[in-house]
Amino acid sequence: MADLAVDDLRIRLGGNEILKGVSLTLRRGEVAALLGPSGSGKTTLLRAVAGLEQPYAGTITVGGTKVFDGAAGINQPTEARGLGFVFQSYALWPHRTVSENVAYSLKLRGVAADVQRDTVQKSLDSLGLGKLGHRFPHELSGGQQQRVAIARALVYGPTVVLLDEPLSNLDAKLREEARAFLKELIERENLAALMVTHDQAEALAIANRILLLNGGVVEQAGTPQEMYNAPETLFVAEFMGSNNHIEGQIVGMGDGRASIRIGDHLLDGQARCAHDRVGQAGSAVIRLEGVHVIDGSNGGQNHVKLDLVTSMFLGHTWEHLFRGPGMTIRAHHDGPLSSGAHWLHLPSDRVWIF
Amino acid sequence: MSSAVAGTSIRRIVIAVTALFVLAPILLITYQSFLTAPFFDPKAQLSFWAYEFVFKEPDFWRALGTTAMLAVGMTAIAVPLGALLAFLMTRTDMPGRNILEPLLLVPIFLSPLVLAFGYVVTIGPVGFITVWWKQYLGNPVWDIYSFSSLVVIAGLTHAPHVYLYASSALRSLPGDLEEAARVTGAKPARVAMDVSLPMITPALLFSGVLIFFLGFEVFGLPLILGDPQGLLVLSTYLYKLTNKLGVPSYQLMAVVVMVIIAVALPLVFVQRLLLRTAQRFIAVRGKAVRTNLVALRAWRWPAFLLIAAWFFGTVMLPMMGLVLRSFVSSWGLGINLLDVLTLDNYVELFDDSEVVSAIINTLAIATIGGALSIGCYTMIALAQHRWTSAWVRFADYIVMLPRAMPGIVAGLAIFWVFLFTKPLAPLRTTLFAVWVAYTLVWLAYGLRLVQSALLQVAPELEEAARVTGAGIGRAMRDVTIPLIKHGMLAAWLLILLIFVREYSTAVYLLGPGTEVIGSLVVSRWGGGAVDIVTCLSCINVALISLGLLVALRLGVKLHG
Amino acid sequence: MVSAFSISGGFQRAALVTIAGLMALGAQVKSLPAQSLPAGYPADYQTLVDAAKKEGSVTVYATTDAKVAAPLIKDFEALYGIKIEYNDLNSTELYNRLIAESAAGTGTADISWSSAPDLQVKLAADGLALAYASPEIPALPKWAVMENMAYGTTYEPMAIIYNKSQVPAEDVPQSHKDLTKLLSTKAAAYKGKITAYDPERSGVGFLMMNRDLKADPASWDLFKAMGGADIKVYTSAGAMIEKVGSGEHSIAYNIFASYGLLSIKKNPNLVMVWPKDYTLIATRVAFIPTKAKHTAAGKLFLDYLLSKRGQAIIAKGELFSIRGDVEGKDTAKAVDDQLGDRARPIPVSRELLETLEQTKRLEFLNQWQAAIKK
Repeated sequence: MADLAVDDLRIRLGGNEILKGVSLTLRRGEVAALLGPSGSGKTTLLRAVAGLEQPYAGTITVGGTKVFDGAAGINQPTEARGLGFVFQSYALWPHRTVSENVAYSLKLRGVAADVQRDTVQKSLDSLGLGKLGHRFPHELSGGQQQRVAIARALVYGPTVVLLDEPLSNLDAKLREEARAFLKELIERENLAALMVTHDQAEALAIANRILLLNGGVVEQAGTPQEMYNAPETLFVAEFMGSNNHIEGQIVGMGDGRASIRIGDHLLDGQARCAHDRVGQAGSAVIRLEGVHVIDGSNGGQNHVKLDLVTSMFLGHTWEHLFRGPGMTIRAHHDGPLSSGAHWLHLPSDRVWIF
Repeated sequence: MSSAVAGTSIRRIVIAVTALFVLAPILLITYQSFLTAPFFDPKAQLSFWAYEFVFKEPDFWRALGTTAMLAVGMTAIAVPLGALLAFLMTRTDMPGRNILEPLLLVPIFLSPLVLAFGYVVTIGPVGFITVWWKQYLGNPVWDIYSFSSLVVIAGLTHAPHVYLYASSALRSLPGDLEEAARVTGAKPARVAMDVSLPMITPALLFSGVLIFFLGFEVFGLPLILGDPQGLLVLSTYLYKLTNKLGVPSYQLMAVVVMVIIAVALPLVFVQRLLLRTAQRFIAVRGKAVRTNLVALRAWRWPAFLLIAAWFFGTVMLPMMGLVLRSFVSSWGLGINLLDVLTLDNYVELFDDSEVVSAIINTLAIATIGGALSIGCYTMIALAQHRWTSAWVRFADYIVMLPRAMPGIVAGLAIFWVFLFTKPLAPLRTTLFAVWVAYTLVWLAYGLRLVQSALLQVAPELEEAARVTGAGIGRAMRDVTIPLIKHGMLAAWLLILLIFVREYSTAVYLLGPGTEVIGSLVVSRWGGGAVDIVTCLSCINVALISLGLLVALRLGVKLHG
Repeated sequence: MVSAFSISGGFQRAALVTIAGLMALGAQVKSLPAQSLPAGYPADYQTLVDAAKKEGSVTVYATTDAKVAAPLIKDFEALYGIKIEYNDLNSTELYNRLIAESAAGTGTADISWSSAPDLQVKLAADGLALAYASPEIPALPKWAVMENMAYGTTYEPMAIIYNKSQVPAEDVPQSHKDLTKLLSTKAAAYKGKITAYDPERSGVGFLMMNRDLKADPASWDLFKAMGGADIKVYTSAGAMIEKVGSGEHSIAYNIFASYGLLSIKKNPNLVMVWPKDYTLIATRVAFIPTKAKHTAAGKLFLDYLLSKRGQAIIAKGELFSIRGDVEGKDTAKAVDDQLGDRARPIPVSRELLETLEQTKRLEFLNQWQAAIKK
């Protein structure tokens, strides 16, 4: 049984349809990432699960209990849903110390003072905040504040934890550390975590499952690998990674494959459109890391020759920018390249044609 | 489930109780306007007679026209002046800002009745400044009893209201916008005109609407300054109606109040529209950014002098007259002030047991009563807080209504409500009734103070409490209220000062045990005891200054 | 005098009288020596005193400043040991409160004492005053008693007050005629210098101007002359006197002599004149409201107010005693000695109701407007 289930949830805010029927399920030990551009409704969905936004239809079930059912008129208030919530801004209460922030949920539940103290201390210890209990939030660094927010959300043992862009307020270096820490924590505590993010790399790294929202509906849901390697739509393909996007005319389709003409070049790839679109405009998409720089062509399929425009050193690799008639292609390569024309191979199993 | 329902029903109860207290006197007045006699007179009949009578009066239309002109005129003066004051105080390196800051708000806390009389003593036709002027410079260029003087004085004294809104909007404006203008080559005046002030347009418009509305209820200034010329505005016309038919004709007064309400409601609507945009500007989120001030250079001292001149004209000039009058037995032509200097007025004042209890009662109602009022305002503000509902819109409209009744009518209406509501009747002769009247009359003002403090609380701080398991009420108690504590303290001090100043509202509730300085001033003014009135007013102003000083010592920011 | 009790409706007492009459012999000696009852009071007056004492306090709504009334209050409280709750109001507020409270049935003042005789007469005529024949009636002029309900308590000349630094001796108006002449011959010099109550905004102002017309139909000439001199009209005597004192205006018309005396003391430039052709005499009217809670105490205070003892204090307080038998400079006797038969008291009678008639009132105001229009 799912620990969190959302079914056909619909929300209207000020006359605008924000969610147009979204469903998802989540089990303990799983992290689901809600991914999408701003305005896609991902934060609204998260807040609706917490009861902070008011849906008008659909159901939300937490740990087997219906907390919202539009048809049956069930609508439990936020505080009765027993969730953990980590806010983007952390929302630490500035007038309470770290310990008081964390202890608040225990206090609300009438936990004895000494038990409260022990539980809070244990929680702070486990998050590496052991000595900071007496401080006020503004006396902490950003990373510490984030961990206090997590401690506060988890201290009373909710099974479902909701995270609203938990990493976005950290600087780049800290973010990667926090990512690993968060994933480990969720697995260790055996939580069902629903996390909002707009950063696909973060989603890929941390989530077991990703829901990509677009305009209030789930565009595609799946494992990170599915999402990254088998996008069903151009939108998903574009959103999930660093891509080359080439416009052309679809010239042939069949057997799950398609070919597209760009100027003089003809590219073969996997067909990602349902209908017969031969003769119409189409797009070829290939990830940066899918492009190979080769030392001269054997005249093979999907080989193109383009001029090197510029190169960037990324540390673990190089990124090169090539340009030719009708196409601009970026490619990763493990070394610098000489200026002038180069042959590139765009393997047909890595080219998606939409 | 139950706690959300309970939370909502508490909100509804609070708004309903507010509505009850606000609407009871208003509906009574409305009903009265359609009667031929006092509503409690068995002979009273439903009729439009009062409306016909008032609308047929040329005086009414004249008063309405004068009031509209006054409202437009004082808005035209107060808004640019208030905006300029705000810009100079918040965005420039003008000298003396720390000293000027508390002084800027002083006019709000002075009773206009008292101010107006102060002007008569200093720059009236035989005021001592006028007399000096005549001696050395010839005929004075001003006539204090003229309509234009009234407009100018009303405009100058209302500028602080604009200042309050404009300065808090300016404070939350990111400084880089102005710096960008400076870098592209704009001088300070251009920066103000092209960047800072346009950015706070919603706040300025909002305060403009407020001033325009206040223009419809100014009473003290036209009562004193318009008296000799027979200059009538709606509020003084209403006063005149009281006697026109020999016996007080409530139905006629009620009609005038209806007219003022008819003007007020569309203004509330406009304000609500503006507020939606204005709040975006007023609300401070995230960290306060320390911004660089615009350097005025050569204009530093002229700017300071400008504000000083405004303060002199609006506060010092009338206060000088008032203080002087309280220390002499007579003044004017052919009197050497040194010959008539005396402390007798004050000695006489403290002989008067009513005065002593009035001072004590005023202090009690301002401090304790003010705190209770803030408590009520906070409850109402919290009831509306983070709730989108028709109830909230309804509450927004009704809280403005008490302000549409001139203080004297509000006082009379509240007196009626207390008198004719059996459970309340025994409380009528206690300070409680005065407190209710004050709380109602200043509802809109006090509520806005608390609301602006609430705006500063980021919503997720409350939501964080909700998700960890606190109900709405608990979240407010544990998070919202502790976070607006300072805002509430500031609001309390402002309300305290306002309550000390308030004058006409309590006149009908005046009696042994319920005397307050304000109503005593009005009642003694009617009785002709000018000495007592001026002494009392001076004491009142001294109390207000003391309150301001304490407020500043406590480090209370007097604005949002 | 015994009939007074049956009128006053003390029916519960009527039964008690016979018993009390017997018991009182003993009780009187303890509570109040019988000889302290003023001469001419009925023998059973002590019953009233006892009832009043039982009530314990008397609530007074009055327009007379609490400060001026303080000696009266003190003396009454000392005399009877009955506390006075004194409410100092203006005449409009007093009227508003009384009618509202009477209608609400929550009880109202035990004494209404106001300087607006027309409003007081109206309240009495509307049935809001209790009929009570005071034992002091024989000492009062006939015009001062309305149907054993409302009583005039003072005898205050309406005076002209001028500022002697602004009005040369030859200009000083000694009469209404003088004033008319001065204002019409020297209109330019006195432009904006004459001031009076605004009959439109002030009930007292309206009443006085009407009484002027009754006393002398030529008063319209005076009003027209005032208009010609650009009269400034006010709602409060305080503002008028203050501004005559300062020299902003020079002459104030129809000012209560009691106010005048107070201001003269403070400002030596001010001089008061009682017009020689006729002088209006105003009186503060008192009655016991029908809805009073403490009627016995109310009666006691009313009697005290009219008594020689009370009136002597009134005279001392410069409010002008109405009794012919009180000596002193601020008494009816002194005023009459000076004015002879030229005093024109404003009677406490239904006659005043006509000033409150709406059509007549508006008609007068229109005429007034026309008169003062330049």
